Amino acid sequence: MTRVLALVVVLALGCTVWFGIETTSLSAGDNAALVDLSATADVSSEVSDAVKAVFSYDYANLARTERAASDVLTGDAVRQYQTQFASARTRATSEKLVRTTTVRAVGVRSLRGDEASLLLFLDQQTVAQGGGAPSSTVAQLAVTAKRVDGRWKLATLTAL
Amino acid sequence: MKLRFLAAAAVLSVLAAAFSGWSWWRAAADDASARGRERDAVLAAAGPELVTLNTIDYRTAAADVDRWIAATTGRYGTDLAGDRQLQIDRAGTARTVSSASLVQAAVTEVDVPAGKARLLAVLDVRVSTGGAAAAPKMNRLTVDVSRAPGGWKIAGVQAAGS
Repeated sequence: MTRVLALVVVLALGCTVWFGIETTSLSAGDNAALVDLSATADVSSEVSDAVKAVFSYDYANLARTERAASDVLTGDAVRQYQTQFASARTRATSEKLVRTTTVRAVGVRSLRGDEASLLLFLDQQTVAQGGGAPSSTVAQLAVTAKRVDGRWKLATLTAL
Repeated sequence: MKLRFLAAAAVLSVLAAAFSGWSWWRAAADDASARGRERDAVLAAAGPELVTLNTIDYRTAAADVDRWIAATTGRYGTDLAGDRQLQIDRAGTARTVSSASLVQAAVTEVDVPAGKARLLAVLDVRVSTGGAAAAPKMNRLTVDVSRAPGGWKIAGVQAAGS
């Protein structure tokens, strides 16, 4: 009887360890990108809207872009963006530029709690109001986003 | 006394085994965590495969094109296999040397039951022809992958308007 019980204990503990290892190997880690589909869709659309807003401008209404920037940027992105936008601003005014940025594609690389990193493909069209052909450019942007008070904001912007 | 202790231990360990078995079964049946696993598997497979598809040296063209074919599946793979000699000849004529590195990629869709996924990838490709210096070029791609017997393989690549 003692032997049988000891055997049961050994076998059952062995199975516990084995099942535990299998369960761990199945775990998807803590990255919720595409695991939580609605959270993935939320961060994709909020970050896309934010990127569109801060990378589009109209020389006649640069204040709108600046308001958008102060609304959706946080942390390092604020300073990064200010230096970039300062030179764009001067050019926009002198050449009467209207730039429209659209997001062609967006993918969430990681989503952990209130932090996410994304890859965006941007198409940008710039029209000079003073004449001249509109110019189209493409850009690839790596973004890290932070959720502040329930809203996703851009924390770092890296052109690839 | 010893027997009672053993009996209690046996009951507890069987319960522990049952619980961990149930956890395993639940993890295996969970669609959401399956998407997470496949997301990582797709990235791990597609990154090196995309680099392979942009790598060729006219001096080793036959082996390079065979690696392209091995990295692909479906219609795309069949087409590449059909064009094998054409690709080798073309690389030889132009004396093409191309290398690539993956800059960044993100999976945008995973359909686990169908064995299909889609991703965005940015690739730094350096192509040199006729012995000239390599010109670097950023390629932005949307990529379709399918589950094949050898794992996730490239089923289609499209340049996203660059």
